[in-house]
Amino acid sequence: MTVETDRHPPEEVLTEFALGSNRADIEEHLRGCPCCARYVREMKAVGGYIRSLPDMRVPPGTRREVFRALRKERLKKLRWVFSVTDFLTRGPFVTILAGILAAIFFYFFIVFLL
Amino acid sequence: MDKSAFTSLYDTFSGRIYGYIYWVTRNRESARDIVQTVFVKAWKHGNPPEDESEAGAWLYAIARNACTDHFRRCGRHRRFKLRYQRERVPQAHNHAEDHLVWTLLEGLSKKQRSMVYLHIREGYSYGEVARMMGMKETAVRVSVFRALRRLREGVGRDLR
Repeated sequence: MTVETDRHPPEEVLTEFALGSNRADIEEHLRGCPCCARYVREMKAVGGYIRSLPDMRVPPGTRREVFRALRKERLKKLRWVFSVTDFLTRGPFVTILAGILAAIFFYFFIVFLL
Repeated sequence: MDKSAFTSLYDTFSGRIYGYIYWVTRNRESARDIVQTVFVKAWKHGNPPEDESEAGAWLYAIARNACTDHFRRCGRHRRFKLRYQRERVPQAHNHAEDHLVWTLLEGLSKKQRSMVYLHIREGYSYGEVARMMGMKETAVRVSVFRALRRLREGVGRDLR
């Protein structure tokens, strides 16, 4: 797409140009159009301001809190493993398992012996 | 993810992720809480992508979801609104121009602030931002353009 000097390019295109896209035709247009040149200059300034705002520093103590939260999560996982083993060794599960095994044994007993 | 991998991930990205969350929430306390949530979630998710840029995008996507959850919670519990009120301008920014830009950023939606941060400050492409935000690339492009146009109007008005 080419941009004629007497027709202004859309603002979207000028914005993209201000943000760093390479367009020779836009450059050419800007040389003869103070209105679009001002738009691009201001848009470049906006981009520059955003980029140049100082980085926010992570507040002290955040790292310690994150690693503490992580330890808690690990413990939660371990607790879950323990609760599963606990369940496996408890009465109802053992009774159900014994029932299933007895049923399988009984089935094979009937199939092979009768 | 083992401990050394997690530590390296934290050391590489915590500052940037905190900056992003602060940029969106405009509150230091919330940003601190959300950073914690983000890294615990990252640990739960498992191994991050090996490429640094992709790992960053992966963390930003988690952070973006964590921010959304945070705002949903805040909306539900109106009594927390005062606690989570946005800070007008961060104390670290004392220059008149910084002050102006932060004030203008207030006028953008959270989504727009998020996209402007990821595209302009972090340099992610529209496509990458779209994937992080769960949006279409064209929608991101239009949204960033509208946000910048609004900022330009403000900057032009105040600094002219």
